[in-house]
Amino acid sequence: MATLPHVDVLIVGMGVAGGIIANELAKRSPGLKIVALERGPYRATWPDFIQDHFDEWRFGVQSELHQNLANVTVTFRNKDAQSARPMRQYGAFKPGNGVGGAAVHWNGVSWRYLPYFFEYRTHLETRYGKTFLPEDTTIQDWGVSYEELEPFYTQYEQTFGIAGKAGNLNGALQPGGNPFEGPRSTEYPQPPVTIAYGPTLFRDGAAKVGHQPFPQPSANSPARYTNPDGQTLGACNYCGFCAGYGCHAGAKASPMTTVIPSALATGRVEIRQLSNAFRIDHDGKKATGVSYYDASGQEQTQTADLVVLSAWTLENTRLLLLSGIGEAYDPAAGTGNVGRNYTYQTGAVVGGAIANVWWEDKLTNRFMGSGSNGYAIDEFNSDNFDHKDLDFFGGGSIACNNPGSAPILGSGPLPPGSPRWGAGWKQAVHDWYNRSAFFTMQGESPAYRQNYMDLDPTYRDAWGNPLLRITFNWTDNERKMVRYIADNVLQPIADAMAPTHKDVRGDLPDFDITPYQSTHVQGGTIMGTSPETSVVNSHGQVWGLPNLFVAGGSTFPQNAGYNPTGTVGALAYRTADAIASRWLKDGGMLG
Amino acid sequence: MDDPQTPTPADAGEMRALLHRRRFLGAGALGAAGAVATAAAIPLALAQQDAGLAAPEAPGTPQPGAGPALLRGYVSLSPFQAAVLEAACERLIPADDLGPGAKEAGVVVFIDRQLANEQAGFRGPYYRQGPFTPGEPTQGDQSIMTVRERFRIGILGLEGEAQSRFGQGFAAISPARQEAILADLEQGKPDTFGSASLVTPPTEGAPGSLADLAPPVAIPARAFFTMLLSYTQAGFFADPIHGGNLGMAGWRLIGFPGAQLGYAGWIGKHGEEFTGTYQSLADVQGFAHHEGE
Repeated sequence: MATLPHVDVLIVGMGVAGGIIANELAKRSPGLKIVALERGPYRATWPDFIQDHFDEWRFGVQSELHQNLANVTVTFRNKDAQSARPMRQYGAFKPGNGVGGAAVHWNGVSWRYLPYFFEYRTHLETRYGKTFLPEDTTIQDWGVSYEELEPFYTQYEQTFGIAGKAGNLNGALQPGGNPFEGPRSTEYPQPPVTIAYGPTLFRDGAAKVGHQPFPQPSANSPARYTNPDGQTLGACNYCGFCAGYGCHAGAKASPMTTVIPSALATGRVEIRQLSNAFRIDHDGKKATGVSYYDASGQEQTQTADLVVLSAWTLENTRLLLLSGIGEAYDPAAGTGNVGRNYTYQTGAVVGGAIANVWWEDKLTNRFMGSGSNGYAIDEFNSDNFDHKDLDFFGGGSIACNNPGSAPILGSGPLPPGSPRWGAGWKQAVHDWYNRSAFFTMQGESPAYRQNYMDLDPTYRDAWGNPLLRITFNWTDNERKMVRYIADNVLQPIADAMAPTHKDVRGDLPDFDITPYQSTHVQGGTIMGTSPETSVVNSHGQVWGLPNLFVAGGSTFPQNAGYNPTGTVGALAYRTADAIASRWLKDGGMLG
Repeated sequence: MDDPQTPTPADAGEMRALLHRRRFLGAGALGAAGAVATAAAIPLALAQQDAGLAAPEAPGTPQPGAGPALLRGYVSLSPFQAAVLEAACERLIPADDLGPGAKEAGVVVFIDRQLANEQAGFRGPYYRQGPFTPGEPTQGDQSIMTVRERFRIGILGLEGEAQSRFGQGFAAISPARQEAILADLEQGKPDTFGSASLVTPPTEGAPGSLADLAPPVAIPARAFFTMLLSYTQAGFFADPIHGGNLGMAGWRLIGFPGAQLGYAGWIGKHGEEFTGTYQSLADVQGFAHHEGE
């Protein structure tokens, strides 16, 4: 084992969070030597995506850009009483792999969370009383307010060139935007993308039944855009190969088109690709560095004054557990916090509130599009609607998106009753592939005592370290939520869209790890106001190890009814700001 | 850091230069094989985009006969296995008035190529460490068996079902009988099948020789059907560079134009039929376009 020359800052994982923090520290603190470890390869627009990515089999189906399950996967069970099994193939979610992280292959839906969501438990208990929430829910306040986060949301949106229409500018509602969003200090840096036909039919249907549809915010740059760091995004070509693919036009905002080239341009950031961290080294009072397997598989130790762990939800949690940092969560005893509050997203595939519509006289051109290319409504997200007389809490954003549907995975869905194969199937895909649209609720996944992560006692990764074990299932709360939304919201909108056929569903069977559902996997190293109830403070700083920061969705106490990346970005900017402006001067735990 | 590998990707002029260089290199590398690097669609579209215009769907330049003859052959399957698969896949996607079926579209060539990679499942790399213990349905398949083994056993199962029900091999029975077997498999009938289902050897030979000698092995029939259907549809819809979807038959059936640079000029034309030229990734990469390939 080699010990490498000491550095100032060591970052583990170079996705949205790690890339932002590397770039901010490199720009603002020129004296720092920064090293970043990334388990995957360095792939950029050139030479990797520019001509070769239009391949559904290679990227969309065979997951070339995602975590290599042959090396590391997770194990899963629905409840403690079961024995976990490894996810041998993809799979409910698709962690990224490579410099840029999952944001290389994301579709680019970029939200801000609702202001009250950062004080969610307080908000719900104040509005409905202390007995309203289910006894087993462990949702909690974040320890940071929307107002504190707003400048960092803005910085993230400016840097990533987010396209959208403000609904609330400094408290004044704006026509055409989301009337439920928190006040923005400024308009989106770019106007909305050009939106495809299917979503506009949803927009019209939703408006007809009284809702207020608005363009879903998008990280697919509608035009050439130069960000405050001087990095330029290309204009989206609406090629339809977006979620699961790198962008050939450099138009999808990702760390590889924004913060990472900016960080590298300082000359003070070194990225070690194909490097797998397996332990945060520490002495109980401070982190001393990280041990990792380098590109050839050799063990290395890198010491540093400051360690930032930004390796996505699953690896952030696993690395703390493997390193003996914090106390592992024990659901039976109710002790420990590492691994607690694993949350997910009620999705759009096997279960959830889903509507498919087909028109015999409308060509919707589903093959065109960009990852975030749609209209949304927010009337039924979170607590935007009164739950006083309902038997559940929570909700979700409802959107019709036209991300580009390639045919191996997207020749359907087909109208109810269509054959699955043979001449009848052939006729059905011929008739309906290009005459359909779907819309869905991206639903909240509250935290519960029984849903958590820990180390698997049996299965190991390619290097012999224990895999992370996920214990998770939906509860009746989400089942009632999904059913209510399907029957009372999706159904009337579908009717208003006047389709030839429709199929509205609101079922939520036991969570199943096998079909793809959502890569919005949160929790495990959650933030809060006290070490009794959290792993990190609202800056991501680990309680008791003040030179170790954790960034990313693993710090979310619970997931919202929105895609998480906007909030990952804003929190990373806030962490970087706290480190640059305060921690580097004073050290210690930040208040 | 000044990294020549990471140009500002958004600079269309630079992208054009890079693409030009790439095509030039590609032409050089392929020159010996006689490939012609065509002036592909990308620079034109980027130029249009640069000028603030919508990118049109500029087709690749077809140059029939200019490229190397592509050899098509099986790298994983035996002729017997390919014949059974061809018959089964053709029932899942039959030729009819709407266009070619699985056989004509080269679906079995696609499957054959996929089976050559024993490390991958349908969704890519596969976690392959034990113990291999069955779990709940929500935990997914836990068998160590490769996709190639599953196909090998499932093909023997198809043959055995045909033999036991109809007295002939699967490729020899009528389409209606083939469909009946597949429809039963979809319903989990029989529960498992494989070489144990064989009545006689799968090909003509000494009566009983293989059936007697082959150690029986079986897999769940319904899971095999699901896997077969997934691979058949993938072979029908994947880019032709992977061996199936010949002539872009699957894409033409449903109206998917293939590997297009983009639709910046079309996305706002709601409800209008796309009239550009369908193209494969091979066209984008500058390979000569062969009608029917």
